[in-house]
Amino acid sequence: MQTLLNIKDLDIAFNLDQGRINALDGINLHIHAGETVGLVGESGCGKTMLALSVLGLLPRPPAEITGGEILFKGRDLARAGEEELRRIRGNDISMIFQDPMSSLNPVLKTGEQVAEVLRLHRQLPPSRARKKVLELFREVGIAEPEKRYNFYPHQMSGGMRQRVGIAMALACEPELILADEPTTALDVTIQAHILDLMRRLQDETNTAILFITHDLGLVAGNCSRVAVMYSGWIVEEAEVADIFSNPLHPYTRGLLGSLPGLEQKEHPELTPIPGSVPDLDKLPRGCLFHPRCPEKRPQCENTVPGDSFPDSGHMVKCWLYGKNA
Amino acid sequence: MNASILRAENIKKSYPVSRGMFQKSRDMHAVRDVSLHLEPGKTLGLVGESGCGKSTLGRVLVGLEPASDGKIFYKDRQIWNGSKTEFNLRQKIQMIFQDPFSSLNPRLKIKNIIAEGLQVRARKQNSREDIDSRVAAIMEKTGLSPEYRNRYPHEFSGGQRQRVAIARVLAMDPEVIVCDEPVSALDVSIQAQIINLLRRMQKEMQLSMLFISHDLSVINNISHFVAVMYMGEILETGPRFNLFSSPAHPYTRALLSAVPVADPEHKSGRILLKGEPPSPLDPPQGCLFHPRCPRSADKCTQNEPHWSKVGDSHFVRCFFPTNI
Repeated sequence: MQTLLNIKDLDIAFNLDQGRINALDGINLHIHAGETVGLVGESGCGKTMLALSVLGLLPRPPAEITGGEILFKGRDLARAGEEELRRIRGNDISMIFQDPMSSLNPVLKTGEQVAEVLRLHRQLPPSRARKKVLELFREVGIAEPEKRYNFYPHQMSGGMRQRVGIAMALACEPELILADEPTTALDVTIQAHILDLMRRLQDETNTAILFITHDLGLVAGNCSRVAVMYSGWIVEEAEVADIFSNPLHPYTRGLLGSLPGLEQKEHPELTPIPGSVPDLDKLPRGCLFHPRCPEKRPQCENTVPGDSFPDSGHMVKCWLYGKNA
Repeated sequence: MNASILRAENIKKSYPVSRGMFQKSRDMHAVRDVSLHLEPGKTLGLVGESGCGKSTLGRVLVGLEPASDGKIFYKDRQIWNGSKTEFNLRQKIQMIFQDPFSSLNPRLKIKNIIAEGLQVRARKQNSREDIDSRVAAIMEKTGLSPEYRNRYPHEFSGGQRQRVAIARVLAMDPEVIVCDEPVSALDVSIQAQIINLLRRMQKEMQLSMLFISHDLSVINNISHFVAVMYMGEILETGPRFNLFSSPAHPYTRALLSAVPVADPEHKSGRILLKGEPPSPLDPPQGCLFHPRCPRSADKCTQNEPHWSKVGDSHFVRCFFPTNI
């Protein structure tokens, strides 16, 4: 399989008044063509930052890529100029945002917003762009597309707006979609529709998706591989089946133990992770997870663990495994 | 029926919606005719999607909003009769809100936030409570170090703030707590801490809870009884196990099938609903759910279904319930 996106040792820092803060530290992640990779983590772990860095959308300054590469089909996006990024954005790589209310322009008709992408990247004349938008609207399940074309975002429901966001992301048939919590703002029944839609469209177009979410349940049903993030590190990466049947990192186990499920048992006790996520400006020494880790060892407090691969294809960043142990 | 501690009968709540200067305003029915009761030491989970009226119902029960119609009883004493409420009984019914960032006064120290209710009560009853030691004890109980008592809310994380909100409520020795999406704004690892804390407190203090949430997994974990709400009406209610193992209403079935399960082997068998909830200003005739219902028949478009019993204290409002 062809590697579409290959992120290597990526470091991102923020230069703030208090000094430099490391937001992402040594990120390695690759996505093959047509694959869906999940990126899970709690708020503030850097998952959105990672997606924004791929598209060159980081707020620079204060953000700065301090090391590593973001290779998209061999081109390094970390060092690409604005002109090149602009050609790629929305064309080869597009993004679906969490909040469809704030990611659409409130004073432009939704149809026009989608048409804009086509006019810019495909140089379609207005009439053909309009025709294509109506086609896209139909495809993503927007009823009465002619009428909805002229709707402003506020005239639509959350689910409908997210469909517009998806139509926009699909407009140029990108090879990679970065979906940042695409269903978090939606109700479960609407979420089910949107996920079905994304899966169906992916089957048809063979688009790769980076699926960013905090919900392990969504990862289980939608992704083939998953990376777990914590405070700017990827702490574990594996096939979805492996993560759920054999989670290795204590943080991943903690996340799974924290999930209330739908099982029938009478009130199973949850096993939460003690403490809370550290602030990025007060990161602990050694392993970032050690203050909350139930399996902490002496070396965890002072030395950063390396990546180890106890099983093939299953990466974990923890002192309990592999050559680290 | 077991002795209930809080009972609501035929609660209705509507808001006038203006339609411009020259037209008469219309009523938007947020809650239409809901009856429920809470048992001591037990949790009723109230589940529904956004806009279904579950938060409004919670606010009405606590007394933050007057009901448009209906009666509320606390231990067989009527505390709302359509116009007047009995405030001193209301102390026993407390509320925890969704957003721990906006529900705490940013200019008060934690100890004052927790003590505020105690001070009001002490003044009213002319009693001298040892407020400081009580605050320390309650902080300890909810997992907050009493050393933090002089800090302000912004110095805490979301999970800790929710602990403060719980401490503030527990300080009043309540018997009923209405929790409105108390864990929805929190990360999963913190969410589990708060759920466990609420369950421990419930056991220790024999609290009765109304737990409002859109998250069926959370509801499944914390509730003894469950009620499913849609467009201001309860469509199905019953003991947790019965309702989750044999849901009778098509809406409950669809909701359950849409929950993402953290197991790659899980076959979803998803039931996709048609369309989206209609506007509450323009509710459909007959059964409120019929425009989206996979089983709707002619009967459903004309008549409103009444309650029918499908199991042990398990009731459903549907002409064609599934009975397994």
